[in-house]
Amino acid sequence: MIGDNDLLLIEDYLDDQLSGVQRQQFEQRLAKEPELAAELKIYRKMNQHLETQVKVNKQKEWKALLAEERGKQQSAPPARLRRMYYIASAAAAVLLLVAFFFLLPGPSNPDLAEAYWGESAAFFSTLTERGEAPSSPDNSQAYQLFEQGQYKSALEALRQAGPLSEVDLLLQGAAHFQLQQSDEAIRLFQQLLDDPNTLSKDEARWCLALAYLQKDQVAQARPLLQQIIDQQAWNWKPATRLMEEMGGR
Amino acid sequence: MNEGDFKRFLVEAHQYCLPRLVRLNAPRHDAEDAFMEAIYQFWRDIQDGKVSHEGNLKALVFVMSRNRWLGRLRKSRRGNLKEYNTDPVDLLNMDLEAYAGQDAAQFDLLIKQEEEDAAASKKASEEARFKHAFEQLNEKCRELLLRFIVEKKRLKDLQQSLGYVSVDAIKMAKMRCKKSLVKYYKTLLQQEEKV
Repeated sequence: MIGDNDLLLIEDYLDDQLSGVQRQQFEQRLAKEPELAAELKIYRKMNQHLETQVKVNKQKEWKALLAEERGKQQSAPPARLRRMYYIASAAAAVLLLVAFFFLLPGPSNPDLAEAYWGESAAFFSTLTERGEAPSSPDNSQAYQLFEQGQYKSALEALRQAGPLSEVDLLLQGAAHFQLQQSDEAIRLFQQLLDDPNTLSKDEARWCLALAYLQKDQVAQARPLLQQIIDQQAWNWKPATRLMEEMGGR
Repeated sequence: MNEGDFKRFLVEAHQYCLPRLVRLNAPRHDAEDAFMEAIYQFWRDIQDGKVSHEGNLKALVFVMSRNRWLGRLRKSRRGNLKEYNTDPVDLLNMDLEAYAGQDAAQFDLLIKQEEEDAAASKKASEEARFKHAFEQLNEKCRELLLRFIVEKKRLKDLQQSLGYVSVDAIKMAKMRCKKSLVKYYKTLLQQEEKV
């Protein structure tokens, strides 16, 4: 029969409130008393449900708060003016684009590579914001230098740093790309793509395609882009647009 | 970070993270989900005193959101059934031998999906049972149990905030509330089993 003292023990066990010895003794009892073990199981389940309940309540509250904020922003006059400005800008951009297509020759492959590299800038800024990269803190200077556009210094900092993680290699390749050193960028992105353990294959494939394009090697870039599109991998939409722009080259 | 500060941070972090997630090709709805998962984890980390640095917290939440979005994307890529015909009638009419030669992996995916559906259904009925049991508790018990989950590391503050005379008193009250919850839950389970 499970009494209140046992229930207090179960609660303290789940709340991590028992000392090492108490915990050991309790676990020995669990091994011998199936009724106690079954009760622990259901108490643990209740805690999981309570945790979910807290999460659901909080997310509901925050979604309501964000919706309210959105409502405020949409009804405020400056926002309306801003929207008008965006519409006007968009219209101007469309006109420019039309003029660009009709009046000017199409961009070269290296130009396309540069333009589409710009679309990936957000990704590289996440590298510099860090937090997820399994890299040594000594390498942080390289990320700051990259962010400031000092690509040579970023490469030098990476050279002096310890062993490089896959994210560091991506940054290294990106710095070479920015310095128009396509061969070195291709070598690094290919190395990442060939590594069976890398988690950044999608990113490496996209960057490699652009590096080939920068070197005007369309035949190498095209299958990589096609693979991105077929797998609907990261950046498959820009890859589709890029393929269209490359046309029959 | 107090509650008011957190709410201000939430709005700013949302404005910061969403456009960046969408730029990574995340559909708006998925981006919102990833952000909500990340901001909840961030809030729990604050409650547990795990967020110590004063650096760029919005960027931290963005990286957490991005990891959740990419994780979900990778998971969906691993077991995507969309490209297969899953109509049971079509499957029955197929020449199984020829079919197995064509793509045996489809069967693995179907079995996996069935298992996932069964697990999801079990989880949903457990959640409904819990909700029903939880609603039978009085307001004070409900508040105590939910706040305890988040604030158990600040028991003294929680005790004072909820007006209990000592830490032991609040632990005893929590045990009684939990005992009632478990009792209601077990009763509902027995009723379902009878049916």
